[in-house]
Amino acid sequence: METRFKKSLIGYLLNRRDFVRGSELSSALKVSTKTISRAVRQINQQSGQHGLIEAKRGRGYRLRNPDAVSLGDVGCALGDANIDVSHLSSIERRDEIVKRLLITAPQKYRMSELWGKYYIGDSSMSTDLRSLRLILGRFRLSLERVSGYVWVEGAEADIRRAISSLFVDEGDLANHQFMQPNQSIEQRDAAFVNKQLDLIEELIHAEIPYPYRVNIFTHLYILIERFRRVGSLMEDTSCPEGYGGPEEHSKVMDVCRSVIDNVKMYLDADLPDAEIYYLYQYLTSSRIEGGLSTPAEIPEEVRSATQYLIEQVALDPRYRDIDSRELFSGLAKHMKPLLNRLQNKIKVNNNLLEQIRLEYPHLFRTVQDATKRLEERFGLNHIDGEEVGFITVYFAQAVENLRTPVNILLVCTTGLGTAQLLRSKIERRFSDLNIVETVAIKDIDAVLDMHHEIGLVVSTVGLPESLTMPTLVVSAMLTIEDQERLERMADQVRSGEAGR
Amino acid sequence: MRTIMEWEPDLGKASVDAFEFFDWVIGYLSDLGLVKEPGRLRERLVDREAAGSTLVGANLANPHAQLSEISECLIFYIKLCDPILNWDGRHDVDRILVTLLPEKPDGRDLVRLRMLYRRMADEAFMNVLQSGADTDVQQILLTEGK
Repeated sequence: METRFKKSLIGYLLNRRDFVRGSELSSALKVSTKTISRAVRQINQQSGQHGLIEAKRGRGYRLRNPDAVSLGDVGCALGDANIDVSHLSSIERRDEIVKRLLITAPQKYRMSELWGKYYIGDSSMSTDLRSLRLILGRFRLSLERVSGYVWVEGAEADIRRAISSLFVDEGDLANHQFMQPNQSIEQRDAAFVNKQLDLIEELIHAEIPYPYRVNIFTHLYILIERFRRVGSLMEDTSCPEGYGGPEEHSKVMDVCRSVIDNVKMYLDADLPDAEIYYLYQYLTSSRIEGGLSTPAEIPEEVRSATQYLIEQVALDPRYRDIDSRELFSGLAKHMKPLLNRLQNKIKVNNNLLEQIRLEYPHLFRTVQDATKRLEERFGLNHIDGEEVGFITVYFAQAVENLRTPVNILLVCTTGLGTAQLLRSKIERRFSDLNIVETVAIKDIDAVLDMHHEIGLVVSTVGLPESLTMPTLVVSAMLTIEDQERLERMADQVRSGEAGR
Repeated sequence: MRTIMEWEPDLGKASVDAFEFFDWVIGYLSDLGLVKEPGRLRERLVDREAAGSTLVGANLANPHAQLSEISECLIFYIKLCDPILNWDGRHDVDRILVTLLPEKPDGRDLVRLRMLYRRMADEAFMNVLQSGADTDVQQILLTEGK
């Protein structure tokens, strides 16, 4: 029997405190009542002496001790043939515990309730507590421990950020396996959130691209799930600093208001106004082409930071010739939401990170070093590897556009006439050709003796047969055909394929 | 640097080829006392054409030579009534910019000449040379590089 089905069954029961009739389970999970009873038998056989699920004739099924079953338990226990979780690695164990603490924060748990089933000693438990404090500290959250109880304390925004960062991956979202064990509720919530994303796109007249759509989806989804778990807490969320500022009445803020109004209606509950601002932070931290701003609206801070980053990367001789102007226009559009993300501590997953590291190892390291200097110079929060990966892609594009300059010698009869005309035309059309000199045909040998860096001789007159290096004769008009021949020849010189 | 312009001059016959045109140019300059060895200049101009087309614009050729028998830099612009057919075997031209340099040109002339050629890469400038009125052509030839 599929583990996934067993997880669904336990997940359904987790959301119901009382007995659930077999017919209801059969209908919700779209299987026969016989399959339900067989699944319950198997789960109970795997889960030890008393069994996880209590079955009563005429009443149905319920979890024997729902509080002792965490979502992590469901996943781990049923992912293996044995309900025994003592085999989990310490990392997996801590993940399960912190997940449970976070999703229901600030609910207090007896330590024995959280750690008891792992059958570990006090020293391992102390190690776990230290590790959990470190993990939570990254999100400005604290793990409190008083009289044998533990719980997580911190701001709602930080709790959600921790949930998003630690437990949500795109695979979960794609497979609808995220947080909410009740499949029907989960799918309904996911569909609702997707509908809100469509609404945002409609209102801002722009598409929200990957990975920002995933981020906003996660934010709204966690908001809903958190409300379902600890709804009463939401009212305590205070307005973040900056809320109510001049941007409050902006178009984006209006969009956020509409979406949060819809969420309120969906949950049939009132949500604090801070939720509008949280969503605003996510939207302004996303690169949405044309939707939220025009290129002319690049703020000075973004300009300076972008320029500084390009300069720092270009300090490396390998990248000093990148077209910084072209790079700037693309990168600045990325940097604007990036700076917002850093300020708002919004993390974006980068699925291509490993590939980027593999393909551009040196460039990635160079960009990473440059971002460290950027952080120091502009007092920014840490730019993590995922963000460095995104930035690296922009530089990689610029590097690919960059071709190694080919040193050329221009020749005409006198070096003063058509070679000068050619010089002007080549300078305007070929940024990757470096004109070393413009000479008379009679002076070629002397100049080549002096300039060994010359890789190609371009002439408007026929050249002596004795020349042993790549040459190209073009018309002084430098026609399109001439330009194409010159480009091909320059490529051959770069690749070492060109001969006389 | 001397600049000369001839607008639709009488070449002695209705249509000429490139070699006949060179003969006319050399005769014209010899009459002005600007060329000491007409034979050598003709040879240089013909050799230059043989080395590669001197076409610099759609209907504009730029035959040129550098030789010791020339005493100063010379720009000679000629607008023809009838085009010279197949100037370089492929293109007709009706405007010709002849450039002659002495073996050791004056430094200021070199700068002017270089400027003139560089400016020829400008579309607007080239349009005047290719199809401009006589006053416009005269204007840019006389002022360019000064």
